[in-house]
Amino acid sequence: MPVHCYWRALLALVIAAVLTACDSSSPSEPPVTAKPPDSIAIVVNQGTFGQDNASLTRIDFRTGAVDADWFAAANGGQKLGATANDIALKGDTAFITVTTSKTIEAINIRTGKSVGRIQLSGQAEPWRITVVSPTLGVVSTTNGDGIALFNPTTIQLVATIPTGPATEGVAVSGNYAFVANSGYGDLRQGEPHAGTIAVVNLSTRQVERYLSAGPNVREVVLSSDGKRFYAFYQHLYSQPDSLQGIIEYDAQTFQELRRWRGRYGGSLQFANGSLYVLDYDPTTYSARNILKFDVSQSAVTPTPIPLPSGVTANGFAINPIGGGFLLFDARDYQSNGRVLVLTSTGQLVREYPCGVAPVRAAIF
Amino acid sequence: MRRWSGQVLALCYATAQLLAQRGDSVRYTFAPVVVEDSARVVIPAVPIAQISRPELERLPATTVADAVQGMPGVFVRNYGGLGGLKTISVRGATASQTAVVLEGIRLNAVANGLVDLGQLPTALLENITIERGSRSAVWGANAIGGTVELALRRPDEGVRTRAAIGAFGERAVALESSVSLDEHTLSVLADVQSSRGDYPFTFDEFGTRHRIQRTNGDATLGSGVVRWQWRASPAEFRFTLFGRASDRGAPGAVVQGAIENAAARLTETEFLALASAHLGERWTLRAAFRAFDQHYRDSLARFRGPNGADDRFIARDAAVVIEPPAMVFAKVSVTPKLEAYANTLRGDLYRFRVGSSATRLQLGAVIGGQYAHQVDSTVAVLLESGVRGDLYSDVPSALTGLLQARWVKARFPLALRMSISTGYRPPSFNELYYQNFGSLDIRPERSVSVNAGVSYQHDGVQLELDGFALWVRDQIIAVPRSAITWSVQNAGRVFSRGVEGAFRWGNSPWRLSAAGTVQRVTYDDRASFTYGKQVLYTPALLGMFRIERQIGNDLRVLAQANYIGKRYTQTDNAPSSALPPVGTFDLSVEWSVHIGEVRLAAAGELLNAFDAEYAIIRNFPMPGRMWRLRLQVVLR
Repeated sequence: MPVHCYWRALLALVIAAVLTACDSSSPSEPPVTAKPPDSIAIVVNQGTFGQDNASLTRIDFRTGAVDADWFAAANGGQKLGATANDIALKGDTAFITVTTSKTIEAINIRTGKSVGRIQLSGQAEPWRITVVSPTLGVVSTTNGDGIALFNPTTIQLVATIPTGPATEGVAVSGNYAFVANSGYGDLRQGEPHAGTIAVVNLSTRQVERYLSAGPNVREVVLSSDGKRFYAFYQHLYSQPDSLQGIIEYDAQTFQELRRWRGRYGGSLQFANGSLYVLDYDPTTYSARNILKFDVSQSAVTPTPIPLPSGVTANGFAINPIGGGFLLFDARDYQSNGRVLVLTSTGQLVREYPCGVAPVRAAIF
Repeated sequence: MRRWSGQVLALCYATAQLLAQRGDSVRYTFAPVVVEDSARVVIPAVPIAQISRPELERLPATTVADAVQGMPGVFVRNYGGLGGLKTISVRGATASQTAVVLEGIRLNAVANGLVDLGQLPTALLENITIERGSRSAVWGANAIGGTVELALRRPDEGVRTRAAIGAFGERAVALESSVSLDEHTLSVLADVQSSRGDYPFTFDEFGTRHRIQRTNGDATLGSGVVRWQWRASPAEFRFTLFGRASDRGAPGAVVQGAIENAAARLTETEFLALASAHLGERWTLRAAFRAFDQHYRDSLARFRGPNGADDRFIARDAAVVIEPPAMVFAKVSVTPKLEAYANTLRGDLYRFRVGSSATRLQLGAVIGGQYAHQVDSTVAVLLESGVRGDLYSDVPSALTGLLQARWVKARFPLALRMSISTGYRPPSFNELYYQNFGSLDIRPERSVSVNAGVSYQHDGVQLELDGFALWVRDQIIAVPRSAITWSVQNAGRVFSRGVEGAFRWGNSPWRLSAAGTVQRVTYDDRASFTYGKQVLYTPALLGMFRIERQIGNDLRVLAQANYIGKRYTQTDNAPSSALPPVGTFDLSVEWSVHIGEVRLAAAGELLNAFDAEYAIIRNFPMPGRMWRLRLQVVLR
């Protein structure tokens, strides 16, 4: 990447910092991610498409107490909506994307009570969400073909930015958002920018460039130090024999660094210098392992972490409290699921009930 | 003794003869043997419920979906409004596991196996017959839970017109006429219905109750029949053309008070041409051609592209059936039949697996036998069996069969029946080929059905009680794979069992009808966590009670109550996924008068009179209280 890009990025960061400082309603804003050692997980359950049965499950690991439909219990029976997909924290507030309902629900993570709701308009359906600062959150708006910026403090929509067909994954590093334009695989693969990563300058709110990725690129995740980001692309359903894979990019220069091709992918996560992914095979809809990529090595061979049998892995989370993983078992996707607590080697420690199709969690 | 025996056999074969000639049917018909004596005991071999033409005219029903709810073993999955999808479930089977046949032609769409019973007006029908139990040996594919047989109306001589207006913009007009000239009879029927479908419903948001109107629920349906019959003794030729067209909104679920698919539209046209020739020596040839075009548009379905969805599905089906005359060996009557079908479906979303179209060829051969055994001077046992083989070009072939027995006693009001049969459903084209959904690894569904029942008929009372068991293996279900992606899989086994009862009593001026079903439909894979759980949308209890009274010559009052028990929307039967039981009450008052050759009838109907708020399917609210006024003019 040319040197002037560094200057441009630095300048954008300074501008963003200034703007952020001006927008902030409270100079003593708590940190973006809550850190109290509560040993609590808020699990996002997708529910079944169109059934209005997305839910949140609260698990207290210290007491073992489970509130299977926590949001409804805390809000007078109010349903969370249809098809929840992601969660992000800002202080005591969690933001949950409820895709089919086109809402971003804000709740107090101590009480579960709703503290605000952002209703997106048109066809914009919130998918992945990340909170960048007390005044900036970014959410991909699938079907809206872009991203939306919102203020997590005021819980208000700030702007929308078109990026490409069928946006799914999003990650933010510095002043740039990296947005996966999946094109929904076969459905929109012929459209411009399908199968690319859009690099969005959050200051100018413009797409600066498109990075070639692969068909059906669905997820983007940032490394812990923010210097690299990783994208997962999935094969086309029309070509079930084709390989899918993971791409490593430099988050400053936007150059592709490495690419691993194989029959794995889904639920991409980064922690402790390693990349984790389900070896999810879309042709059989099953995953037998979590694969660990030690990306600090120049030659990476994924290490399989075997999962318990009889599990329909719909996602997992890296457990920051005790190490290991939380594995989300959707069972048949039409029943209440399970959260399995696994050790770092995949041994089952305990399981908890949850709602239909658990997919993500915030753990604190 | 000899007289009784002769009567049994004579009626057996005479009925076979009669039923083989009724209507344009491409199905193989096991003649329902009728045993009759002075006590008039009539019992079909399998449980059958029928709504006759007079009953169809009395009921406050405009479509088949409205009419059949309340019949034993029947549950209509109703998505609400005139244009909302309405499919039938018999004995807990899915809609695609229930064959729907119009004049013997199977209507189940090759794309998804479904028939929308809300698109078939009762004004065009002579009667509706529902056979319960696996009957693939008779009807071929899809007949796992049961079969709905629709017979087109045979209009009387003269002209009959009907018009109706009702709540939420409901309008309907129907016309029928028939003329005969020498050996020729020409009949015409037409029906047009429309509705805005903008009924209100309520939902809760953070404890506050909101009342909003349903949007995009408008529908216009038009259908008609032209029939020509030529009796050129000893032969007879019939040609029937059935057509329908509809344009309707296709609203989705109500999620957080907002209606999904607020801009989705569905347009359909369908033509079914039937020709039959009943030749001398009892040979029958039949041919049918069906053209079905469907156009789905949703400008807001952005996951399909910047312009949304714009999908066309074009189906063309053809059938040829040859029925040689029955052969009699001693007391056994054997009836063979050959069938050939061709189905082609062209659709925008099939291109990735099979090009833009898919084709299925099917060759079926059936042979059935009937045997009547006289036990003694007053008791007879009637046995029937059948075997059917079907070869398919794209899915595994099928061999299905049935064995059924009846025990009847002269001048005794009770009769017994038992049957065991198998069923088969090949995967639909969607289940095989639809992109991101279908799978070429899907196996056909197969079933075994057992039925045992008793029938009592005496002094105006008709009572039927049947117990059944239905095992389905390799049931095909759609499973969500992500927030927007569903795909099919064979879900294992489903076990359905229960008891059905039907009661009728008529003694002028009163008429009573009641039906009830107690069933348990469960997943039957012991290794699965859903083992023993109630299958989605299969109520354990169904009931109907109807009372009618004729007051004088001019006034008639009908009241009907329907009950649908609790059903679940999650396979683990989580309490939060239960939909509560529903009870509805309908009332109809009709006044009629004759003025010379003209009969005038006016009726007022109140549907869901107690304004129950409910949904048959989660998040698809049903209308509250509705009214309808109907006027009918009959000129003989």
